[in-house]
Amino acid sequence: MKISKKIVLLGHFGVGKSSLIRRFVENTFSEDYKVTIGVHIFKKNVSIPEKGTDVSLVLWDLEGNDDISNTRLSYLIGTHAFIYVYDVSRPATYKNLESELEFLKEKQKNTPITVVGNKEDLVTKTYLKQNVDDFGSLTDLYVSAKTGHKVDFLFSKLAEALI
Amino acid sequence: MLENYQLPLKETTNQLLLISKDGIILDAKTNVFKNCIGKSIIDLHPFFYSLIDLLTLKENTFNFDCINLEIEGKNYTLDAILHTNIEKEHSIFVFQDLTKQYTLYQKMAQRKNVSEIKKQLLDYNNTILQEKETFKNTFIANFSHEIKMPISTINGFTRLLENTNLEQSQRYNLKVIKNTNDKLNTMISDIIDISKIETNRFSILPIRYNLIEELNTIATIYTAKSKEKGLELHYTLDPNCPKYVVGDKYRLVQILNNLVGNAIKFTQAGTVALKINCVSTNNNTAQIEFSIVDTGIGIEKNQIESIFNGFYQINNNLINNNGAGLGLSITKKLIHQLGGKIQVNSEIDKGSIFKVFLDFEISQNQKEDEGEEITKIVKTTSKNDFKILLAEPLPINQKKLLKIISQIKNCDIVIVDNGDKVIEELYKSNFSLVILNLKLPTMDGLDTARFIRHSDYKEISKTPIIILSEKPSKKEEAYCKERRVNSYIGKPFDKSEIIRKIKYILKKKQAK
Repeated sequence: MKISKKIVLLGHFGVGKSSLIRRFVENTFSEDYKVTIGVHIFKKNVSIPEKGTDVSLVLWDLEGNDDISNTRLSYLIGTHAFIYVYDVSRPATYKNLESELEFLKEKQKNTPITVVGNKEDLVTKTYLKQNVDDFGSLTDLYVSAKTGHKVDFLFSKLAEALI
Repeated sequence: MLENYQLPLKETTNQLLLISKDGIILDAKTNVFKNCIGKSIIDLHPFFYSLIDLLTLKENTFNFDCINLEIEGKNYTLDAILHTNIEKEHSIFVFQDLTKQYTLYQKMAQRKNVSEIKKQLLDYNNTILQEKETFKNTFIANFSHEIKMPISTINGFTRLLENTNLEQSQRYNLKVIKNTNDKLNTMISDIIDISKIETNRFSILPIRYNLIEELNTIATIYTAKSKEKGLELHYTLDPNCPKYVVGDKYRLVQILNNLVGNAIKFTQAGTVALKINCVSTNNNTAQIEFSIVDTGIGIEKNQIESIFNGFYQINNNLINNNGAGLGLSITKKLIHQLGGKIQVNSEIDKGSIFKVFLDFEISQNQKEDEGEEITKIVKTTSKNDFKILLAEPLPINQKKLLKIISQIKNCDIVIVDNGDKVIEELYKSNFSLVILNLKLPTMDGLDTARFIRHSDYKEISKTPIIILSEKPSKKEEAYCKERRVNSYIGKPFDKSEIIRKIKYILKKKQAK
C-alpha cells in the first residue's frame, strides 16, 4: 500500500495557503484572491529517490482564521504535519505567531509544524532581516507561491521528513 | 402525503454511505458518489484517507462541516457526520449537500476578507509612512541642531568683536556677517520648530509678562525697519488691552515678527500698519485681534491658501525673496498651537490684511513685579571666586532661585531667561557653573546642555551643568546623563539639595 501523509495548512485568511497548494499541485498561480471556506483537500504524489519510495501527500487547505482557536478541530484528526503560513507583508498575520503555534502544539503534541513566510517576493531581504524579532526566529522557510520560490522544496522536504 | 413531497428533497440533499470497518462501502444512498458500492472509501476522495482509522473506534460521532469535494469534475460543499461502529462494526457517513448555501456564504466571506486585507495593508502602510515621517523630522531636527551650533558660535564671536576697536569698514563687514548669520539662525529655528510641531515635541511655555511693553518694543523695532525702506509704520494699541498676561511671550513675538517683517518685505511704497484691538474680556481672559495691514504687492486669491504651506515662495522677481519660505507656515502652526486663528484678505497690487485672533490669560496681578527686573541683572561683587549662570524663564522662579544661590559666598550670578542668551553669555565670559531650567524658550535646557557639551571651546564644553526639571522623570534624567549633565534636580526643589549640589560642583572646580 502506498504511503500517504496528511498535511494541514493553517494561518490567517489571505496569506496564500491555497496558492501554495495550487503552485505545488498544478504549478499555477493566480493573482485573484478567492476565499476558502471550510476545507479543500488535494493529493499529490512525491517521489523520494533517497529513500527509494513514493509518498502520497494529502493536503488539507483550511479556511483562514485570524484566531487559530476557531479552527474546527475535527479537521485536525489524523494529521501528520502542519504547515503554518503567514504573509510577510501583513503584520496582522504574524503578530500572534508565537501563541498560535503554542495552541497547535497543545492540541497535537507530537505533530511537527513547519512555519512558512509566504509572499517573500513582495519584500526585500533587508526587510526580512529587520523583522527577525517579529517572525524570523520562528520561521523555517520564506517562500513565494507567485514565483514558486522554495515551494517544491517545502513539500518535498516535509515528505522526506515524514517517511 | 407530505412524505411524498419530502422524499425527493431528502434524496437531493442527504447522502448515506454504509461502510465496513476496513473502509469498504457496503451500501449507499447517494447521487454524489456514483457506483461506489464495493469500493474502498479511500478511492472515492483523498478526504477519506485520514478517517479510515476512525472506523475501528468504538461507537462515536464526528462532525466535518463545510467539506469541499470535487467529484467527477463537479464541486460539492458538504457537511458530513460519521457515526462509527453503530451496528455489526459498520459505520455510517451522512452527508448533506449544502453547496448552494455555502456558495452564498463564500461570497459574503470574500467581501469581508478582501476589505479586511485592504484595511490591514492600508494600516500597515500608514504606520510605515508615519515612521518614515517621524524619522525624517527627527533627522531634520537633529541636523538643524548641528547647524545651529556653529551659527551660535559665529553669533557669540561676532558680539565679542563688536566690543573691540574696529575701523568703520570692519564694523560694516561685521554687520553683514551678523545680519547673514541672524537670517540663517531664523531659518534653522523655523525648521526646528516645524519638526518639533510635526513630531508632537513642541511645547508652549507660559509666563507672566508685560504685553504692552512687548508690543511697544515690536512696534519700535519695525518702525525703524520701515523707515530704512522709506515706509511708514502706523501702530495703534487699544487701551483696553490688559497689561500683564500669562502666555508664551516668545511665540507671540515670533508670530508678529513674521507677519510685520513680511508686510515690510513685500511693500515697496506706502504704509504698513500694526493695529491691536481688544475684542472681548472677562475676568480671566482677553481676546485680542492683531491686524497687520500693508499696501504691498498682494496675493492672488487662489494662492491665499498656499501661502501657509511649507516652502512657499511668492513668485515675484522684483522682491529679494530669500528665506526658506517657512515663515507663514510656522506662523499658522504656532497660532494653532496657541489656540488662535488667522485670516487673510489680499488684493493684487493693493495690499494684504492679516488678522490674528489670540486668547490671553489675564494675570491676576496687574501691578509691576519686582521680580521682573531680575532678568539680565548681574549681581557682582568685587573679585568673586565663582560665576554662576542661571537660566530660568519665570521671574518669580528667578527670584526664588536667586535667593537660594545668594547664600553661597564669593559668587557672581548672571540670570538669563532663554537658551540663546545662555550661549551668548558663555561666549562673553567663563562660568563656574550653568544652572538650566529644562523648559527654556528659544532653545530648551536639554538642547542648551547639548550645545555646551559639543562646543569646540574647552572653556564652554567643560562648564558644569545643573538641570532643574519641573516634571522630573527617569527618562528625562537618562537624557540628561546622555548629555553629561553633572546634576539633575527635580521638583519639588529642595533648597538644601540645590545648595549642596552647587557647593559640591564649585568645590571640585576649585580643586582643579
